[in-house]
Amino acid sequence: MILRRISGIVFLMNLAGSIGSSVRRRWQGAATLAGVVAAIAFLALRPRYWPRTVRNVLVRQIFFTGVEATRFIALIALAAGLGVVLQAQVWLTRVGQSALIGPLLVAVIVRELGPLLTNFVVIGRSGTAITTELATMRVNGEIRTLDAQGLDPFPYLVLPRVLGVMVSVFCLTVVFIAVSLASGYLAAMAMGAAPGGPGLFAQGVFSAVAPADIANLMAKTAVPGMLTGAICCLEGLSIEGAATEVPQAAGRAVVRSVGALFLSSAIVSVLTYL
Amino acid sequence: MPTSEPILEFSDVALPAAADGGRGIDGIAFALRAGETAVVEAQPTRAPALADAAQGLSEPERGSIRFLGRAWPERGPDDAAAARARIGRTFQRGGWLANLDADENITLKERHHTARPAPDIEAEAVALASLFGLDDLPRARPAWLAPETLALGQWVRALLGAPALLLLEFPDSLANPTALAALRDAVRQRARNGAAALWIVANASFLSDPADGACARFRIEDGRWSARKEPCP
Repeated sequence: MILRRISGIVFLMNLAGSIGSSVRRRWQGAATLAGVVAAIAFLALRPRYWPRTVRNVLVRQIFFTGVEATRFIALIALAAGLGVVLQAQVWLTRVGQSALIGPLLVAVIVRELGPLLTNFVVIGRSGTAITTELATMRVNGEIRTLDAQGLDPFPYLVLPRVLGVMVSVFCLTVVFIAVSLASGYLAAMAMGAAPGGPGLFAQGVFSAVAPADIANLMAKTAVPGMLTGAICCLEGLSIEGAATEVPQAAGRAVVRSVGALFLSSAIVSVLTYL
Repeated sequence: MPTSEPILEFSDVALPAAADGGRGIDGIAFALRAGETAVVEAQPTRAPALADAAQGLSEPERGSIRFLGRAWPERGPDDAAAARARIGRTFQRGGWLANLDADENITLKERHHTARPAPDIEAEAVALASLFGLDDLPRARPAWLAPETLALGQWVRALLGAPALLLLEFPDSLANPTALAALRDAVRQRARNGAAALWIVANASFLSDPADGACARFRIEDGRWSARKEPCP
């Protein structure tokens, strides 16, 4: 009886201990991430951390994450536009509320769908690439090579990648919104469900955009973009040096980035609209 | 042209054993001043540890390592990075960034740390490459280049600009006597201009001719550091 009680207490203590260590690990991870983001903000504003080599890395990152993904984002936006805008047009016209098309599209595409889907694409396409690239550099001793030449890996590797992802997410989201609205309107027009001319449609959308929506859009692209970049860089650089760790790091980076995306988007929504 | 202040100074340094099981190195003590050249005979497995320690990339177990008058732990990250930019190093293994072309790798340090126009840097690199028998800088990704081309590219990178210290890991492993002779000449030229040079070699007879200007010769054997020739005065 006593032994059973003791084992029960030990079990509870172990459980509490494991929960405690898990919470502590997550807290430490969040604190490290916050430190990295703060360091990036600090370095980004100082010109001496932007020699031409770092600027080159930034341009390459924007090209890879932003420019090269434009066609894919446009394709997804086309599909989303056909689905969401067409449905909204059709149903609002049927119930005689086509004047609400602007506010509805702003609420669905500008506020939520655009930033969310664009961030997903960037995480899947560029986030994993960043983690894999940095982890492979670590395995191959390239971080040491950089250090030996006096190139601090943080300003050279992390700073331009994080800012490149952030800028790209914002630009791609703007592309997404423009393409989805345009494609939806054209589809609705082709089906005879458009509420009026393109000028009227654009006016309805633009008049529904409040200053808070602009702030929301910027926050929902900049914050998750920065977090995605920072998380993927951290995961890539945190491996010990075995090649088998590379895919594991990429998997962790995706999971953490998606978690950070949903959490930060929810917080931004609450702060903007409540 | 030795001056009183050493460029690189090891004071009774002990380096820890390598993670792969290689032995540490104990009792390292020498100083290299401007214009001086020293040779270290070592097993290939221990060269990176010595070169890393000289660059402040790894901590010694004991003793202190000073570069340009300051111990590495006394320097902040930015100061340490700027100091490492004054060191031209060839690596025994690796030493290349896979996602940059070889010519970008070669000029990376100079482009990062100086405001020299890129064409000037490139012209100097091409001139150095021609010394070693290359028609031009290698321009492909390092993975596509032959080991000899990569070795010569590393020499170009190490000599580019105005390094205060040259750390040359096993250049004698390259079986190209003409290129090696050109490297010796180029290093002597840099030494005349005020650089110090530390050759880490496997071949005991390498640079043994007094005309080569090596004023000190050391050996790492069984984890012990010993002088084979009186240290530089």
